[in-house]
Amino acid sequence: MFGIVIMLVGLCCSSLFSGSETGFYRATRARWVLDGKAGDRFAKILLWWANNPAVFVSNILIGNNLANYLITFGSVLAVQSLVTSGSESLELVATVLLTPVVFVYGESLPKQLFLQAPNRLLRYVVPFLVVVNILLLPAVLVLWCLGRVLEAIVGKSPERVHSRLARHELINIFREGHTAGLLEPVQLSLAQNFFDMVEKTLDPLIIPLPRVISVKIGSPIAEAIEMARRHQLASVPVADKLGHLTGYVLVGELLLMPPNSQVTSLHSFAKIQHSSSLAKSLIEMRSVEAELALVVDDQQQVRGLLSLQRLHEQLFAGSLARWRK
Amino acid sequence: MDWFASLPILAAIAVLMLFSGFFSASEAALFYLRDRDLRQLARGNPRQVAVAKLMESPEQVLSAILFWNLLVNMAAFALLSMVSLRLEESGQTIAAVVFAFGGVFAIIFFSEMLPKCIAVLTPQSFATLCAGPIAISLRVVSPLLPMLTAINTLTLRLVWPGLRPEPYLSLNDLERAVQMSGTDTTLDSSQRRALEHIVSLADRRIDEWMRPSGSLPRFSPPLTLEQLRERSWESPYVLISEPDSDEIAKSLWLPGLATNRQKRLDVLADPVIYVPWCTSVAAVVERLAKENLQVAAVVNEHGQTIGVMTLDDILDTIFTTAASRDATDVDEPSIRQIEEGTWEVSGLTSLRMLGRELGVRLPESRNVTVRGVIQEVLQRIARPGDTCQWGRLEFTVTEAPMRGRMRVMTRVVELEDR
Repeated sequence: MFGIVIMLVGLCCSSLFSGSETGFYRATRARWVLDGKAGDRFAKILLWWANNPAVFVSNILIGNNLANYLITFGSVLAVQSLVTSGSESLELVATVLLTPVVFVYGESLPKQLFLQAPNRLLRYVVPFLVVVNILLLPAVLVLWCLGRVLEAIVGKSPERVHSRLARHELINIFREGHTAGLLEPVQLSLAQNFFDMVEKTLDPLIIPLPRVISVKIGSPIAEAIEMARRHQLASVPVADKLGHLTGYVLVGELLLMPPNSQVTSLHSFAKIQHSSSLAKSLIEMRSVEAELALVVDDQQQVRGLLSLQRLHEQLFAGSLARWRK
Repeated sequence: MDWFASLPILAAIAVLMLFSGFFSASEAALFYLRDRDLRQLARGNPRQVAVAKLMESPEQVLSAILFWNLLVNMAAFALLSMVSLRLEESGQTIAAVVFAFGGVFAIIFFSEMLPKCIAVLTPQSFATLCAGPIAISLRVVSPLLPMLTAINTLTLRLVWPGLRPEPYLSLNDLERAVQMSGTDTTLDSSQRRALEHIVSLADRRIDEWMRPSGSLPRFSPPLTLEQLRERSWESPYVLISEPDSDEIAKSLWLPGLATNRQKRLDVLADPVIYVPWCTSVAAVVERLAKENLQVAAVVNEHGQTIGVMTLDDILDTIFTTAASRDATDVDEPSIRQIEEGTWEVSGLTSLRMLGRELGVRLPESRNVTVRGVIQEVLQRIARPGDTCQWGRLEFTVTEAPMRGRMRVMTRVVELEDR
């Protein structure tokens, strides 16, 4: 009876270790990062193991082999209690006959279960694995050291999972979302380009004031349209008689004015701080429906003009470059 | 205990450890091979071809290797148990424990870790060496494998009948990732919201985001500048219908007009794409991007056009965070508590977020946004002043502009209010 109890305990442990191993490799690391940041202790432990896989693997290897040892030890005890003499060959036969049972219930079935629901099931076994890790710590450490030596020889080291969610990690989660079929390619491209814009400064896109091409208030619109066509402008800055920029007008609006009209500035410029990123400028300009913005420095001195069109070019870069042309 | 008498058992343990090491190394070597390696082996000598052939059914190979590895390990453990029990019977309890643990440890290191690490150094060579014996072991165990698989499947159905595979990642995870990135990135709240909107395109239905088809000026071809001049310019787009029907065929993006030399503007117009009302916004944006177009016509199940969606609308929704086009507060949140039990909510707020923020259990819905729910309850596009009730929530539409965000006053209705 004692032997059978030991066998069953061993089988349960074996299934937990085998399943955990599959679950560990299969689970969503990004979710551990998110749960860990939200204060989930289990997620933090899993994340630590993910960054120290040699410890986890050693834990599982020792645990699983000890569990299998317990199963065979239990079966040997059970056979000895049933057969008093000449039991050695029977003990071996019983162990061999037990192998298919252990294969199904200690290996294959739990692996399949953890494969289907890794995140849910791993949460249940983390406390068990932590206790085992503590109990087996000396053995785990020895095996971990040996593993590190072998790792150094083979020259492979695991990829680290960061617990922070900086730009790189966030983009990686978006990539995973795309691979998992959650995001369309266009969403990934938009997110990546927007991320790039968060870190880019305005300088390369600013048209310095001396280089701004403008049309005087009161000029014939034909002149403004011709100028826009020549310089491929979608919006034309308008200046007063002293040459000060007062606003802008869209080429589409000029075309729809009666042919003998005169140019007026229909729209005011938005005002963007020179220290703003491209992403911030895009949001600000779209929010106030401005096609052109004056870029000002800390002293409110105008540094130049920024067009929404140029910001859109940044947003629709790479695979989206064809769009909006 | 007489160690000399136990020598055959110790020798058997050593042999079993060798076998265990062989199976562990085979597993590592065979499954370390990439598709490229296998293609290369398939063109090699007969032994290399045998590796490629073996790996045509990787699941079976893995099952066979795992089975044999388990069998030899179990046999080794049984022999270890016998020796340690003999030690214990002879009163050497400490030696028994040390022998058992030392044996398990030796098997782990010499039969698992070491062979695997060596095998992955030269996977192709080792795979070529082990392919023959592994093929034989597969043949021996193959009659047993279908039965084991059947028991496995049956038990799985009995133990967990309603088991559904977990999604690897959900949109909720992506939304959480963006929200939680605040302290680690240089993103401010409006930039995070823009990223949230990019994610949210995936599960928003186009009919929850579209504008009514009548909200854009529509002309029959031919279209001239004179015709456009007769109407006020209220939108950056005009729609052009089919020559012989009212159906939308093309769209013209007015800011893109750069010439007055073309007499017929309809020839400059781009075609529109037709999408069913239940398509996700992301799928529509993907198609627009692929086809290099800007306007989608949304059709109902009868094929009638019920709304349109423009590239400008999409960019507005993603990157314009103000409540209205006139507002300058770009950091306005999508849910803002006005007073106890009352919130001002953007129409595009997801029901997932609404339930989470308000702490209210929401009824099941095929809609994803507040706007979608209101439209479904009202059975039409919402107008300012519309009020409707949905579960424990009462919605009052305060703003419903043609462009920009719908704003909704949302109140949690207590049981006694009903």
